[in-house]
Amino acid sequence: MKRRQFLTLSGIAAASLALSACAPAREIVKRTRGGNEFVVTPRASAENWRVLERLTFAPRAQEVLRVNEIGRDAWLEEQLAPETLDDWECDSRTRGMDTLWMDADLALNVRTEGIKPELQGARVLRAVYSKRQLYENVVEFWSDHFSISIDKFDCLWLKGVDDREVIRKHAFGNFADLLWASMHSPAMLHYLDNQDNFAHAPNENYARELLELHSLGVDAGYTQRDVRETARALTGWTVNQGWRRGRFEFNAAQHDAGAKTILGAALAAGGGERDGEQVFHAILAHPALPRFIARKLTRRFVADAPPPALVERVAQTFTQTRGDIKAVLRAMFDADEFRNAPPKYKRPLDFVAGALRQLDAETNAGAPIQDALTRMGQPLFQWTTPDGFPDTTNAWKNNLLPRWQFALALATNELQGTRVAWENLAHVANDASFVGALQGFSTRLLGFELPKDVADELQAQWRNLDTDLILPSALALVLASPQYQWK
Amino acid sequence: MITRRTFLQSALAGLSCSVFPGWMPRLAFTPQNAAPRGDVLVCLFLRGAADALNIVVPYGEAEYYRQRPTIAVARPDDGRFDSSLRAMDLDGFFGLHPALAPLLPAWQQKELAFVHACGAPDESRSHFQAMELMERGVEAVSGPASGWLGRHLASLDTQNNSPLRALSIGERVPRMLHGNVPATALRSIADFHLKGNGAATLEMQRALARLYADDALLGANGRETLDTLALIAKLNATQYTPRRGVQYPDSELGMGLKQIAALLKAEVGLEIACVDVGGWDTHVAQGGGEGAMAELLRDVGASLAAFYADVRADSGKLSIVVMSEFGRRVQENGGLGTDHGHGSVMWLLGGGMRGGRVHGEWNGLQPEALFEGIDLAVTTDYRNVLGEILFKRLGNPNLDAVFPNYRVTMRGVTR
Repeated sequence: MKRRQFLTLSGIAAASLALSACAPAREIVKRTRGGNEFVVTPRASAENWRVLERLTFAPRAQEVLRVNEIGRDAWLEEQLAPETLDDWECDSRTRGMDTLWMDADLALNVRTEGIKPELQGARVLRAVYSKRQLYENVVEFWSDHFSISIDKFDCLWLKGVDDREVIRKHAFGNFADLLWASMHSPAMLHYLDNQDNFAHAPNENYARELLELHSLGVDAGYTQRDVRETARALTGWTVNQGWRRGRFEFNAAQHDAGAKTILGAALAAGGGERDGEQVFHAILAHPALPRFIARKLTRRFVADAPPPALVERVAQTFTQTRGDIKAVLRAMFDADEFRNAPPKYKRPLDFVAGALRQLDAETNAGAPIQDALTRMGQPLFQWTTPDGFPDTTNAWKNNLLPRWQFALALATNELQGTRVAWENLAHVANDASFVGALQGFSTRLLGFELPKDVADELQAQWRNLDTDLILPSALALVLASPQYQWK
Repeated sequence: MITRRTFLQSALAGLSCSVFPGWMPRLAFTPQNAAPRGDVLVCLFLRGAADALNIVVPYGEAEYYRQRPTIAVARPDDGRFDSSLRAMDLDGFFGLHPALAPLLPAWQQKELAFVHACGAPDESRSHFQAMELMERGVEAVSGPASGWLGRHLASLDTQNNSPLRALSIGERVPRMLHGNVPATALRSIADFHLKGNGAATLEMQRALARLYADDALLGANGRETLDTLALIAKLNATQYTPRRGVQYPDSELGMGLKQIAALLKAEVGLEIACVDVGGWDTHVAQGGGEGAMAELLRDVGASLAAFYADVRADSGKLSIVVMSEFGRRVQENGGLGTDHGHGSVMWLLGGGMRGGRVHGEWNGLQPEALFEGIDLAVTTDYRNVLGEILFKRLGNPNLDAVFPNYRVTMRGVTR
């Protein structure tokens, strides 16, 4: 049965039934005058809606239908197997971005200005158009965990390789592989000054953040001496400047050949490049690692203050599976704490990409979109410090105006390179009255209608200035509403 | 006293018929009989652990030059260097980094002071933990989640209902301002508006006011934003002209301070303004009298000097604090930079500061005087400095509420 036929049939079946948020999934198909069929705001159960909001960059109608069709657990498994999801539409939008596929040497050679808009643009395009929504969300998480600012030194030319070969390659893999890849990432070593980490004079920057931010956490119990010794072990882990320019190299001449003690493990003198491997193994064996990763993941996907019992269980899964990221995600999403999670404040990319997704907007993710993200506080790949964009409400909520400005600009199609197809959207607005539009867009974007008294008061106070502005105003209001800032 | 809600309504009503002729409406925010408020506090936070020893240089210490063979700032009398690369003598022992020359007049007028070897007890050398604890004004992670400035605002009733009572320049409000009194993040006054024709945007604002009116989670932030929109609509901020002869650097910091000056002079009820300055994590190529850090300092020096000259007539009502999460290692590293250290330096600028002196106990740079043998030890807790300024200059007697479980000791850094 084709999707279209299925929708039509189920729509007819559902048409006479009252809808409610906790009722089983139903779809409606509305026939417009021209005879075209549109999926009108399919509804999901509250639980499915929550899963979709939290694990996608806001649900599109297609995703609501899919989760309704196969159920929450099957949908989750489908998302955990991104290779089974045909993503040609998204791929076709990024295929022309040549710099995404450059190796470091070429990027350092050509130094084309196009590299930054393509790196940032691809991030938005994938968030908006990829069917592999959970994967893209987890990519976003690791991009923050192993944050690199493209504004420092040569990082702009090197981050593309890191994005491809470290973050995207291992986002759903094993944490050990991800960490190992990051430890060999020229962009990371360059960003955290490890090229200036010398035998006679260690530079602690990378060593400290490797322990504090990438693996164990500041409260893991390591000491300044551990940081110092880790830095010594990693002397010589640097970026090639010669014929393999921009690639990882171990420079033995730069390495401190002396004996070391790292996190309680004794390293004999003369270990060379293996010293760094010992650091890697000491980190993997450290009891603080699973809890630190579990705490960060649950903070992103469950709550600003994740329940300790959940952190503990997710950490146990990390330990039992030796860092299998998919297993860890599964453990987190299967938990009751996830099902009952409090609302999470949308970060700017959630807000922007989500609005574009739910309105089926066409966008090239160009300068106006990036500029909006910057004003909201999330200039992509440009968080200066190595801790990544913040993950809690308080870091974001005092900056509402840029979101309101974006809501207005998007609804009135004033963002160059981005277009909301009103001809396909008008039917969402019910009878096209102000309050009808408000409730239609609320249902579409929030998954529920605004309380009737609020809608009535809005209707009562609304002075109708210009008929052409009714629908864009209603849409902008829903996008700018307090309710839409949460997922 | 008008309430926030009635203020909003009157401000919105004003918006629709606004015929304000230009700059400076001098909005009245306090009732006539309210007690005079204390200083406005401007807080610059140097993110990334600024190197205190190269800002206020202990040129009288031979050990300083031994530990920093390539990145030390030269003595004021070191003829091997051009005078523009040498420290500027402050008191015969300490010297100011030459890039901060624009601030020297304030020092000479005794309106600029430093507190050296100042900082927090946190020993982690982690930017993120140190900043969090310092901004919360606490010693342990388990303390209150709000910030010290947030608690200051909450514990001092200035009968000021301005939506711009507390402001941060940029895209987010720093942790130190978190608390029950909402603060606004603002990058540019000129951009702080909704696009569209006046009547239509007014309708939008009225509708947003209804949507946010009773929202438990974001209501305060929504109302704050709407109030600020209405307030700024009355200012013709693009026409702001600084005092004659004042030239702000065209930098993020310069532009940020200019916005603050504009709001200060418009008397919009600003009490606290925060500005972040990034880039101080100088692990490599830090430089000495010139170089990467010198350029950062040049911007801070020129921006602060312009700001101070611009608002100088009010300098008796203005306290400026510059601080950082910790200082940097005494010994330079292999990358001609410095790693994370401990003790830092605070800068205090304003007519109410006991300026023209370097405050704080100085124990020298010999290894036995250093923290863990490698870093400048902290001899003045930063809370003593902030507490004194809040108490003496901003008129807040409730220091127990601002710094719970800490007893502030006045060090005489203010007049």
